[in-house]
Amino acid sequence: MPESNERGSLTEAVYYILLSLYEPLHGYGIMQRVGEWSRGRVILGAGTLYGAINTLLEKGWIQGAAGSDVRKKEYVITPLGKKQVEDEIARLRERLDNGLRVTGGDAL
Amino acid sequence: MKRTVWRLFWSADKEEAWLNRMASKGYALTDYFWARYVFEETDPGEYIYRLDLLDGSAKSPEGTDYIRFLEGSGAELVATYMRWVYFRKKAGDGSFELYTDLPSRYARLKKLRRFYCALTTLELLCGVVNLSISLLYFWAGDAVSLINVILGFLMLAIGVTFLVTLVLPVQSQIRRVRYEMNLFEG
Repeated sequence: MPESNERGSLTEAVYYILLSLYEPLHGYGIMQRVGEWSRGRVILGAGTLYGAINTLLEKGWIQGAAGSDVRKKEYVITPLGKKQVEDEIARLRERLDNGLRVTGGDAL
Repeated sequence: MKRTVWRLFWSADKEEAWLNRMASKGYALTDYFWARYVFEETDPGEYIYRLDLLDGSAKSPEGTDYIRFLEGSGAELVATYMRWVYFRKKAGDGSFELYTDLPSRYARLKKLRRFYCALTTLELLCGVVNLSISLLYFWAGDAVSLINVILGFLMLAIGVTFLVTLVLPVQSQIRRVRYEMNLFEG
């Protein structure tokens, strides 16, 4: 079992921010990308996103993208961040499998 | 057409709600300084306003970094006042919320509570100092300093009002968000 399982799940916002940064993006780009992916369900407020970006930078899960402009700073995921996403996908898969098995929802 | 309104708010939520009511009537805030609000006439409901509390002043590096980030997301900075910033966005561009998940709403409420607590403590402290001064005069055999007695009680009353109208409501909001956080991740 991956050790980060003990740390619990990522929040939806953090998960989607990390996922959107497999390609370098600036703040507004992250908001748009996450909005598209979730078909408007996950709206990231700028205050929420700003706080999350700073926390992820501190953790070393993302970093400033090389050569990005100061006014429109771009960010990109780090190997450590990718590890978090992969662990999260494993947790999500487990949740989904168990959920479908118990509810019988896989027939749907 | 410009319209100036003088009004004093202590609660950020009430102030923001009032600005949005004004905007829905066609008065959009363009400037703020010391209880003085300047509005321009626009189409009713053209803008949505959001008020935020920074960690430092609006001119500090952290403050300007945050403001620049919000401007990059399409928000327009309308005014700054000490640690407070006023943003707006056209309603036609979609919803405009700054804090959209539980952890960030929780962090914002805790910051608000710190601010309101500091304000309340300051008032109560000033009240106590004023009453102490009048007592000192009294013990020294002088006439009771009426001005200090009045100021002292006034400040204590304001302090208690802050406690009831600012600190306690934000406290119950914090409790509600914490409860939600037990159930939901986002």
